[in-house]
Amino acid sequence: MTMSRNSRCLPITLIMISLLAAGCWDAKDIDQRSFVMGVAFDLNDTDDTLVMTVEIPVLTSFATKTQSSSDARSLIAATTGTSVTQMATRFETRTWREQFFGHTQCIIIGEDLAREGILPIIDYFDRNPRIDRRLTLFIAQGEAGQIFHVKNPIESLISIALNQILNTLTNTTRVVKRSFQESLRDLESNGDTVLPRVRGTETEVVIAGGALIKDYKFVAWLGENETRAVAFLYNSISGGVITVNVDNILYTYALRSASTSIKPMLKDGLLSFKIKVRSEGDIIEAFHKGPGGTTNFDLPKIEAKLNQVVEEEIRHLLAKLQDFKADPIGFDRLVYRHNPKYWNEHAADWKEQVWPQARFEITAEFNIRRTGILEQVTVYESKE
Amino acid sequence: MKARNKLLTQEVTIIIVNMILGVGTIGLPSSLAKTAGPDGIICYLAAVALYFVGTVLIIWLAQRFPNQGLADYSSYLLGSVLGFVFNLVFALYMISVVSAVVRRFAGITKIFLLQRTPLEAIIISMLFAASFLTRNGLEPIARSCQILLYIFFIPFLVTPFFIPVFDLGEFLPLFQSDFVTIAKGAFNAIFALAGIEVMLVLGSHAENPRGLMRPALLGISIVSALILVLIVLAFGSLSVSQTAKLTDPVFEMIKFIPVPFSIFERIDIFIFTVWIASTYSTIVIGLFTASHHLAEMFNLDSGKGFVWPICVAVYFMSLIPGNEFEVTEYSNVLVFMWLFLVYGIVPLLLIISLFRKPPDPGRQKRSSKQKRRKQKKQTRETTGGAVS
Amino acid sequence: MQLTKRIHHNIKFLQEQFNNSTDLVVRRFNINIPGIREIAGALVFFDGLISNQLITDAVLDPILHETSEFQQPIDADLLTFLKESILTDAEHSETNDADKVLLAIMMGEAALLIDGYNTALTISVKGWQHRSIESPQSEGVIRGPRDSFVEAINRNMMLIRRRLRDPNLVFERIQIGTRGQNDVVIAYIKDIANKNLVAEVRKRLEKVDLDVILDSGYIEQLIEDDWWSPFNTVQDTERPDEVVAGLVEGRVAILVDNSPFALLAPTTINSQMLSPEDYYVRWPAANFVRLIRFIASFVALVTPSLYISLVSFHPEMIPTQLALSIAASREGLPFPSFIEALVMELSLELLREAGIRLPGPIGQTIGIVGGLVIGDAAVSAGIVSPIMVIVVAMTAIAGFIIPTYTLSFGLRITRFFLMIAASFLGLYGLTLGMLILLGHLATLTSFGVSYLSPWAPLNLQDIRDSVIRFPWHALRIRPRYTRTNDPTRRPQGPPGKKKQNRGKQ
Repeated sequence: MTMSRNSRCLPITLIMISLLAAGCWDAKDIDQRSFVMGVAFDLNDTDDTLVMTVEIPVLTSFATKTQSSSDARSLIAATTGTSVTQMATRFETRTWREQFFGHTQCIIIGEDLAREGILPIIDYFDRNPRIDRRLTLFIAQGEAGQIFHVKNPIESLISIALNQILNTLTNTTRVVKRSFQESLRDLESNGDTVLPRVRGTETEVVIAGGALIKDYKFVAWLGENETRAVAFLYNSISGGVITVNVDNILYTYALRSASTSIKPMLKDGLLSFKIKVRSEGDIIEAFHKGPGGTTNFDLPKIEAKLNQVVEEEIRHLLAKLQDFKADPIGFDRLVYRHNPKYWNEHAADWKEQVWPQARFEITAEFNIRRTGILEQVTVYESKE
Repeated sequence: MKARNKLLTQEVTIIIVNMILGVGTIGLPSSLAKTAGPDGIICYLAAVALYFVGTVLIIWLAQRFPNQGLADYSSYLLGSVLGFVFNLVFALYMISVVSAVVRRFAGITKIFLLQRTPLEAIIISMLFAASFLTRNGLEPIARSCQILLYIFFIPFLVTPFFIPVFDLGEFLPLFQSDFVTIAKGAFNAIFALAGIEVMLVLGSHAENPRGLMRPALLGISIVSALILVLIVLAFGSLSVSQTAKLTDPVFEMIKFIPVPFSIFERIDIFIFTVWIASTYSTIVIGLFTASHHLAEMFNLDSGKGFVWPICVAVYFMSLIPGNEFEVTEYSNVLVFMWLFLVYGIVPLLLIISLFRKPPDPGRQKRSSKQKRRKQKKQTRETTGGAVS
Repeated sequence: MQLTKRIHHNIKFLQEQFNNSTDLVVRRFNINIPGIREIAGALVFFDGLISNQLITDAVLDPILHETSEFQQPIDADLLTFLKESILTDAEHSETNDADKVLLAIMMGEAALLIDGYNTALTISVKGWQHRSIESPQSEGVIRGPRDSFVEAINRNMMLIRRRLRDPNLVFERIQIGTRGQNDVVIAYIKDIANKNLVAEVRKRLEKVDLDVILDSGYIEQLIEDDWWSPFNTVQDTERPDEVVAGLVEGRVAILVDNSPFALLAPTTINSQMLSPEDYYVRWPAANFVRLIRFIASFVALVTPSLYISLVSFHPEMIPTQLALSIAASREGLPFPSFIEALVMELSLELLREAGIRLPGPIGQTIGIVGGLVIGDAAVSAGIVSPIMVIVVAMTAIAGFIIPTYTLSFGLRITRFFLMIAASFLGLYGLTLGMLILLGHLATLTSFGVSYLSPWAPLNLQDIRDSVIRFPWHALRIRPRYTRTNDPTRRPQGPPGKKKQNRGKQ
């Protein structure tokens, strides 16, 4: 009995001693890391290298007691290099704290760099197991590094603000909400996607519109209405408003839900897609513009108008995508899933030949459920 | 009161679930997606079907010799020389399975949790924790596994409800792959599923060694269902193409889950701890099987003394592969060995046992036990009681 | 040794045996029987062990007065006469074995020696000072009985018997301790408790070989299954209701003289997590409290180690805003988080221990001074971070929720083990530590019962009274883990039914 007990003690002691002697390799306290909240990449103007700009919070300014508004709340540092790792490690000569990407909220890629390709940049983050896959990949209009230099009096960290803006959006459909994970998912399948666009002013950052990525390269901006069409097709709309003009009254329709179904149809070797958008929502505003109008809601008419607007938007977007020979929505995946035979025959020339020729049958079905607590639209007609 | 050292019927199921669920599980969706795309599901189902057949064979064999371990009846069926060689190979196989599991585990842990910690430290600490329990015997192992089983269910119950994106379309198109691809995928799936062979050794320790079939089949049904859930979730939420690209898609899938109320930023590391626990139980059962098998080969009452030497062997064997790709190659060899064992040797033993009727189990056992005791007494006397 | 017929010899013998101890009282007297003669007698006893009142009223007065008033000549011999006719108020027994006399005197009886007789009469006139019954110190409840065991074993037995008027309730008394000769009582209900269990308890108690048993803690440590473990495999309690509940479940209780703590065996981690109050309050409240208690014990166990592993190994797990504020609060601290946590946890244990040792009024101030003043000063001096203070406070509060003092000791020790594990290998180390802990708990048995019962092996019947407590009408079966002889508590049907039927009749 005692022998076996002693033999149990021995290895414990040995292992404890060996661990104590060797130390804890990975232990690095939270205050010894510098949290890279956001990373931005740009092309260097002078040579072929990249510029990496990071936003790092100044920890002391986050301490609850000693808060002075005059202090800078973040440090924006830039470095140049040829690869992401190279640039990240260059920071080591400037700070003893370890660059820590575990809380990175956003990756912003400058317009110029994105035109050359985003694949080399995202590989580093895709490979790193510590990266939070819910971060957002942005394409900046202009220089990406400048986004962090926006001086917003309310927001202390631009990166957090960007992520928060995107995640709390419920009433606008003019942005594609795509997390890093979802963007990767798109890119992985055919190299095309739409990423949110960000631009900075003096004191504000604005997220609106989208950047069309084709074969990991930025090709064109999408306007806000086009982005809305993308959001419909991505099926990622949770809310938002659409305003239509019916009889000189601007009706604002608030989406409560929207769902899009896309079905590939193959008839006589001709490929077409049946796109159906269904939505439910309320009228939340009737903005009277000019004299005339009606005192009663003409719901079918408004719905028809809504359908028409959305159908038109989607048609317009698809035409644009076909022009660019880009397929960020993943129509190819649908063909592969539902018509694998056809896909196998045409996989090679999908983007060049088949996709631009594809036809669409777009139907929108908008249903207005409520009109607020007013049943009628009051129109003041001036007696002149 | 002395430990009964018997497995209750529920514990047979639990041991099987714990043995199978482990290190290979999280990499499985990736290898399936890589080989067969959406047809990975089919590969998996094929592997499960194959696996059920193997289970039936193994349990059948174990049930024919209800009071004997593998070491006893294989040498009875194959003759003492051939039997000894086979038993030695089986012990080596078990040790190499544990080594492969340990190595794979250490590799993944290093990537995800402890980037700077040397592999050796991870392996040693794991082996230490595992040997601690292994030395305590079968009953504590079964009880630990039971508690661990409750913990395993948590991620399976929780994650499906929080997966933010799930696209059923990812499972299309089905039935596009040819037979060779399916077979290849099934082969890959076997590594994640292997483990039922421990029942060859542990079957005799069941409370009801003749009624093994039901708990065993229940066990592998549970495991294959759980793994199926993982595959479906990974395919549906990550997409097949991404699943194929990632080495351990299950963690990436969980990383993506938003935590309700944001108590923690993410829960992937907690799921990781569950995975550590499942690997731990695999290692413990593997170690116990190996040590117990060796003990039965040399007619010892307990394999306790073998645990430390086996751990040392496992440690050195697990450091043989130079990188993670070699680990995969080594585990492929093990899968071949598994296939050979389950579909080659087990049926062979079964056929021989049909001709050489199993001896009256009670008498055989008793006489052999008496012999053993005598031998043991003698050794004790000669060595002066140093054997404990 | 035998007594002789000469009283002086006997007295001298006893005095020598007790080494002329100063508390040994020898009261010599003459028994005057009219017309016959005067016979020398003596009472030998220890001062303080006997009741003076009793010895005067029940022994000395009758012997001295009633015998002298007795008019008829005595035909039988004197001792028998005394025994049968005079000493009718006190329990007594006759022996000529000197060792028995010695033992009886030591146990608080008085030995009556009479010249000419080689036997002594040991008279039970026990009566020593003892503490009155007070409310329990370590297992207080709001709802439920407030009495607790005291040092006197007879009173403890009374407290049990008063609750359990069952003829099958058995108290078996044995003496343990080569010098102390202390009373140890095994209590069980004969037709409920498993015979093997009782035999095993008896066997283990008989094996105990110590010179003196000062508390049931001695017995607890000597009969437990695994002396190596930080966890106790014999439960202790100072609540008689808890003991009776245990007896009815089929467990065996051990009472030790001079100890206000009774032992219960077998025990599981589950049975130690339950408070008797859980059964006195209504079941929704009981379930709520139990859930909190189980969560709290987990919190008390892992919070510091989780803090260490998250803060120094995996900060990506902490919500971004919280991570920033933790990092900011740790900015400029001189120690790594492990040392910080260790120092704080150790000082917490320090405060705890000091609070017990210090005299009452100071003990309370220590809590305030230590907790508030030192904690606050340490934070403002920049030695520890405020978050760490919160973590430590949480651990401390959660640790006090565990109803059994002994079990909370085990968890306290394990907490440090987990902290060390976490400081080496982060969450991986913590996981391994938890797995080793689990392996250890799975190995533990208490009198052959799995320590993890009813969760491993799973017993659906016993689950009804574990983390959850079913309402009373669903608790019809005694716990299975005790392997009772009588598995059902009562027949089928709701418990209120019997009464209703009676009312109708």
